[in-house]
Amino acid sequence: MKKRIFNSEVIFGAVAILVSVYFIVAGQAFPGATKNGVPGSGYFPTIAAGGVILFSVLLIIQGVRKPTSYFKLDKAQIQNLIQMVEVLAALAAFLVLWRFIPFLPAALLYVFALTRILKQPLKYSIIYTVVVVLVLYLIFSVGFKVRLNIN
Amino acid sequence: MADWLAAIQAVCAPSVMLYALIGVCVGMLIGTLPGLTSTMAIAILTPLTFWLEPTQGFAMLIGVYNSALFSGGISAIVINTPGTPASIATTFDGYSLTQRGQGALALGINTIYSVLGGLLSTVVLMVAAFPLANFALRFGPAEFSILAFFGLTMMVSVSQANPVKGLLLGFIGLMLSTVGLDPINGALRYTFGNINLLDGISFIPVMIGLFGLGEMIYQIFTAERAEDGSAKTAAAKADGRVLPTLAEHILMIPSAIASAVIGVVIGAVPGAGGDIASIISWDVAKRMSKHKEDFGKGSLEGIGATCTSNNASIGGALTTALCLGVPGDSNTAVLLGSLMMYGMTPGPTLFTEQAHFVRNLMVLMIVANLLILVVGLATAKVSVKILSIRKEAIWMAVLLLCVIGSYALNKSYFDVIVMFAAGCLGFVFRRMEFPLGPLILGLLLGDICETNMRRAMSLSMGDYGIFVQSPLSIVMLAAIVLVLFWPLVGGKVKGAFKKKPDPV
Repeated sequence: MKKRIFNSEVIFGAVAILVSVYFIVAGQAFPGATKNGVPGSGYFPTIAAGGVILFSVLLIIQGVRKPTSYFKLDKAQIQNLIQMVEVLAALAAFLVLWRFIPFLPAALLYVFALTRILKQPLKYSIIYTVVVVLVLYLIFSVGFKVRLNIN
Repeated sequence: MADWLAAIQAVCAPSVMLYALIGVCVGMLIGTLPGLTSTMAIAILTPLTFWLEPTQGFAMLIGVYNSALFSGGISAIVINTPGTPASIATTFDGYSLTQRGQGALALGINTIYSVLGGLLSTVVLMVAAFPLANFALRFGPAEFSILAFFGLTMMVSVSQANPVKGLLLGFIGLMLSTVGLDPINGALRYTFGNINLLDGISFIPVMIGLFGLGEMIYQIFTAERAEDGSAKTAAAKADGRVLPTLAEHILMIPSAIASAVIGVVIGAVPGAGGDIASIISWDVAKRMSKHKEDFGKGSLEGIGATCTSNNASIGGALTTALCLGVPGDSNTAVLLGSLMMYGMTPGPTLFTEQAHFVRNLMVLMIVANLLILVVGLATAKVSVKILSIRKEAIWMAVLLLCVIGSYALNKSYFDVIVMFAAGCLGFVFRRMEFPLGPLILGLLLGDICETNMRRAMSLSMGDYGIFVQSPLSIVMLAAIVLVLFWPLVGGKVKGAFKKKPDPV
């Protein structure tokens, strides 16, 4: 069977190495060690990034020697994936909306959208949305005095 | 003695008891539902405790922690699916008891012996923690920096099937912990001019994202669907009596006590938690038993042992986490993060600077277990109804709570974005079978590790010899090296042993 060289572990390892290299290179510009040998600001990031590179290489070797498909989907999972993407899209839309309108209406819209994405009955969706949003709003906004409106 | 009386008085305040009860109930709800972990329960409840007094807040979190581990056994017993990883071994005998019509008895044993394990481990915590903390006060910066690395590597090596992935995430956590102001000289690092990153990547939003949002979207992705497209729920019931007879208690007590000891010891080892403890305890109970043939077929000794060690691991884990500041698993990592949120530093100094709070926390462990006993026994037959709650109802509430919780601490929209990103990464990590605990642990320990490492170097004028001056440092360094290189050599060593022919 033909092995897939560019599998998720190899890609993840490669990205981690690139980020680590950035950490090391950028770390060289930080204030350096003192004359009496106390390490500078780039010392620890370099050690941590070195560890990331070491284990990323091992992960890549693992991925090449034994490729695993973590994101291969069967028919049922495709439906789940669509629902998951819709949930994340609803969350992203809520985060954008929240910047422009007060929290309460934005959250009501968001949770109601979730109930529809997750195929809940309409009557249940309305009651659930109102109850959950109001309870959490009251706990944080009234109870803990957190100002939930961004603008 | 007066200090302990003051702690009892502080914990017996009605408000503290109320928060402990809320914690126990929420923990029971989340622990019972398969797939929802105790770590997630603590992570999503942490934002609710921001505005409470430390004792009130920790009443809720300790209640959740203990209760979620205990109630993981409910679904293990009733539907043969562990609610939390720690209750895997409870399925061995619990489900057989349900099939025999003794489900309620199994639930009763789960409650009583989980509480027994929790209480015995709390006694160990009370007795051992202060001397251990006193001993740890002698540690210098070199020992502390090595200890932080040691905790990280031990956690990864013991608990996970793939140590490379655990270590990689642990080091990514350490790397991310360097973002923001340098703790020694105040230099800016990796902030890209963003003022939100001056204080570094906030721990709480990452925690909520990884364990809350990430967990929820993973649940949505892996849900089994009914014909109408909704997520399947389990139909369950528990019949029969709840309380064991005296003869049954006499049968279970010896192995339960042994299991409590095993639970505490294994819980204290960074990386080994309730799941490992309960499997080992089940095996030990089987060896101790005169009815070995019953194990795996509904043995009361078997279920008693697993439930006891499951919750006994909490006392052990808290001993290490509080005394040394090294969390042994994701639960204690998240709990220590909450502790730091209150401005307290886990480790030996906690026992000198905040001794009253430490005592309160220990008394809270007892209170939480007593509440579990009452709530667990009173609702034993009803608690199975939790399994019929619509999963979507939990998902949607948690999804909103993740947003509000990550925003509320600093009233920062940026933190919500961090939570969102961490949630998406959390899903990818779960899908790729990366353990999430080490990332949180690295993020949490990074600052302690770096500060102490550079302080040690400062004391030694740049001489690395300071890291091998004490026997304790040498032992921990040797263990770290062994753990780090075990993925490289472990397979070959095992292979060499397998190839060795049997002696004639």
